[in-house]
Amino acid sequence: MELVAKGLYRRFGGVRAVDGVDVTLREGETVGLCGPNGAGKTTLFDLLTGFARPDGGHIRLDTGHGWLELTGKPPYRFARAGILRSFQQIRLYGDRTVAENLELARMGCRQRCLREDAEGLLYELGLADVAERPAGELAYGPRRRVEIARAIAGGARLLFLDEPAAGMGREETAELAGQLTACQARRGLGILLIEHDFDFLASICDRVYCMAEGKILREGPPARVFGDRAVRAALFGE
Amino acid sequence: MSGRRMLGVGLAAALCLGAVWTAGDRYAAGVFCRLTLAAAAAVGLDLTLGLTGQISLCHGAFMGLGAYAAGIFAVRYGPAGLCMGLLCGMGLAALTAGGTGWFVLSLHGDYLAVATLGLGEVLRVVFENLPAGGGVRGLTGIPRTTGPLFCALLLVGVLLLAFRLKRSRWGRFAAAIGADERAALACGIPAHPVKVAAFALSAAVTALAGGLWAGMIGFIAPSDFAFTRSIDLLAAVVAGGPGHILGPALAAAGIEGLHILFQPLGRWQMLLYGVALVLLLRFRAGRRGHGVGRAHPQK
Ligand SMILES: Nc1ncnc2c1ncn2[C@@H]1O[C@H](COP(=O)(O)OP(=O)(O)O)[C@@H](O)[C@H]1O
Ligand SMILES: [Mg+2]
Repeated sequence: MELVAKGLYRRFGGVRAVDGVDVTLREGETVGLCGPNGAGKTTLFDLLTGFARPDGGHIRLDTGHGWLELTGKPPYRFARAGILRSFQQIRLYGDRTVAENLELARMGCRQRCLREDAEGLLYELGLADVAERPAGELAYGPRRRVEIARAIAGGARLLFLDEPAAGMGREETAELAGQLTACQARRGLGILLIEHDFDFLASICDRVYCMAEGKILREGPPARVFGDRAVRAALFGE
Repeated sequence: MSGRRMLGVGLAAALCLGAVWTAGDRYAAGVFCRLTLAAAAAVGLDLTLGLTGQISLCHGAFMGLGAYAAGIFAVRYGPAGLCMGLLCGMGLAALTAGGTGWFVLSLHGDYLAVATLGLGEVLRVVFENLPAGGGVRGLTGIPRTTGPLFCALLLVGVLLLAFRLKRSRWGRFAAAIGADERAALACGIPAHPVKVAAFALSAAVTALAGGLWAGMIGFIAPSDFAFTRSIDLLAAVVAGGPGHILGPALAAAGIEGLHILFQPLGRWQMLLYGVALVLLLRFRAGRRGHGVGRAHPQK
């Protein structure tokens, strides 16, 4: 399975938030997306998951047996095709338990993920102990992981994570990296994740995109992209 | 579970007893029917406001749609026509709500409120100009075929349907949309179709209550189903607790009771009614801290 987006364009008033972006994501690869604040990363995620309609360009999914046209389709069509996401600002049902949150995604996406697998997921993401606690009572880090678990429980094949490690400490970030790679390897997921921490990206990504002012500045293996002068100028003003 | 079931059976029995008890006296029967039908209409509104959290300011007009369909059919074809009219009214209401909902239900909060307000006004003008509807003076001579037992059974049926729906898979989707629409979408829930379906179903249930209303009072006028009726229903759901089904039903019966109580006061009626409504809502809000639940979901 491979998601192919070409020439994506989205503006807000006079701001070109996403300006002619080509992105691909295939199953089994982990890809990073970095860039300064306001570069358009979240907007690009909204486009790639159906939460915003592109003003130009198209999004298609190579399902292995034909192309699925997703341009302009509502988010649940993306979700049911296996394209799921987390949000920069966590969106869980705080008064429902962790298990209920996962169950809802399983039902919503038509149960393509088995119940046992959903339970296994909680172990893999270190959430087994809190499965019956209301999601709103958890600390920040676990809540982020519940959102990831929910997306996988919905039957994700391609997973879009918007700053999954934001607000986490060093140790917690390292733990998350381990859990993500384990989940990914086990299920052969494709993951695109937004992150500012170079070390984190370099440790788990096969390649990275760097975005600035709505455009893709560079794309390639982490070492090469992070060594690039234009990238460093955009990110650190060096 | 069995406790709930007993409560349900008890409630149904009480309603039927009430119907039988009031059936002998014309005034009491009229009061009983008005209370139960108002309750059924409010449960109808709760199916959209309580579950998916969509505000509607036109449910009074959907009630009118049911009433006019039933009334016109009954005047022309007698009691058998009433049945046809009830079905027709429900269908029309579902189509109107579904069709309009498809366009306006992507709106949120204040925008949706104003859009449904517009739809309600359009329907009122339609009622005033219906060829067989009697104009602003209203439609008279509708055969009075529905009595207290009918109304009691309708309310029981509507309550049963609402509770079933709320606990179904579909109801859980609807509640998820009401609580946080973007999160629901991220779970693969088809938010827009579910909202449209809830709105259409809700309109049909409210229209059914309106149809029985016409068959019970025997006289309907456009002013019966104007904006104030929508406000009554909205107030009932808000005061009763959106999504709680039984609460809105009780509150609606209470509000209709206030109308009946204050009726002899002539033009002071609306003043007292307004004050009572404010007090009721203040009391509700006070007990729950603040706000009224999911009537205004954040985007
Ligand atoms: N809903 C919106 N309305 C108006 N402008 C927006 C909206 N969302 C994003 N923008 C603008 O689009 C640009 C990109 O934002 P965003 O995608 O959130 O960046 P990033 O996630 O990379 O920090 C910013 O200039 C932001 O102000
Ligand atoms: Mg962002």
